Amino acid sequence: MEQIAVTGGKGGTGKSTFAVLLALKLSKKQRIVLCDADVGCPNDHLILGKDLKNEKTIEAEFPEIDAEKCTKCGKCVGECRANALFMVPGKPPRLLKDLCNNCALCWKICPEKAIKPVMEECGKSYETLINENLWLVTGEATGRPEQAAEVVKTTKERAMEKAEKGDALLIIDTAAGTHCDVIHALEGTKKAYIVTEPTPLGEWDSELMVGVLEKLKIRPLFVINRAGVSDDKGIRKLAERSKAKIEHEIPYSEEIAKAYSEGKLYNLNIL
Amino acid sequence: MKILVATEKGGLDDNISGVFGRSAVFTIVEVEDGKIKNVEIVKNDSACLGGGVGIKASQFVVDQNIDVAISGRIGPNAFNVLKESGVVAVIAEGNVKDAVQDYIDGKLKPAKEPNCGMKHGWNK
Repeated sequence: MEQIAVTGGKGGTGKSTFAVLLALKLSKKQRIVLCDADVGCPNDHLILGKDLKNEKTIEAEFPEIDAEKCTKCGKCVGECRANALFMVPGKPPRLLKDLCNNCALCWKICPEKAIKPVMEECGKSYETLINENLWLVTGEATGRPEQAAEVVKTTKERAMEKAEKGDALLIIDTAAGTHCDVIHALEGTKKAYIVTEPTPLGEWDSELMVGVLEKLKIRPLFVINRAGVSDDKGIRKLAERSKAKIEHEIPYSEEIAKAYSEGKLYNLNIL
Repeated sequence: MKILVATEKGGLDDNISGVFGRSAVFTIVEVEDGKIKNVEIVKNDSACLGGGVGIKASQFVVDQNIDVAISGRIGPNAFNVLKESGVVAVIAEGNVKDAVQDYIDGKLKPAKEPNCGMKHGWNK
């Protein structure tokens, strides 16, 4: 099964828009699974004008501390990278759940085995049929942002399984940024579209993304959205430096803006 | 009595920092019989960590047997764990020495609630 990613670093450049348009276009010729891995605010279904279906709960492991077994040695508190554990003198450590990112370190290092993992909900995933050749698999974080990476991983597994079964191409739409959620979404892909815009901010964030893709050994491709809105020399130079082809340029046009605002972008033949 | 003040440069002449978990240094003032006996400046190891710095800094406060923590702002996580540990949290502005003296004289009262949200020091 082949997977490609749509990403870009900067927010609001049209990653989801491009991912949806690409999925629609390719689904005319082959089976596609589109994975909406922007779990903080998934919106591919909104662009496609569909309600999410086939809900599944996603759970993550949280530490539970056995007060009887705990000797109050403080090792877990000292080692917790998320600073989610606190110890009032004379009492067993207390978990501040909002800060926990389910890394499992505390229950693995506890010398007394007084910490055990318990499963709790941190998100949901959905599977929605868009057309005979296109499925949308969506992840939605319902817990704290710290736990979103788990939602990305689990949602992607569901999408990969779907694509594997249907012999489909997997397109992964990532969140903005270069953080854990994005990296989990990118892992395992051969090429990634960097959707950007010809602005200094677009250029800056694209460069960060080029660095991430290089580390993950993923081939970058560029999509310039709102092409023509300002000088694109910087983006072109960056593409050249990173040996990346500019595959698409989406013009800054009233027609596209209008279709977008009406939620009918899927009617346009942009790509 | 040990009073910890969140500061940027440190010392009695410095001003109280506007952030707690991300302040650069802590000024620890030892008070005996209503008088300042000793002043120590220690680096805040939590200042540049990713997240949960309010908790980490509070853990330091508790481990150092501090009685009173003074800062310009204290967030909900830090406030709650300090309270639970029996540390008096005080919200104040201005000169460190004046604030310590005001606390000794009973002019500065303990904070009743946090005065900012989580991640306040994030963009400092």
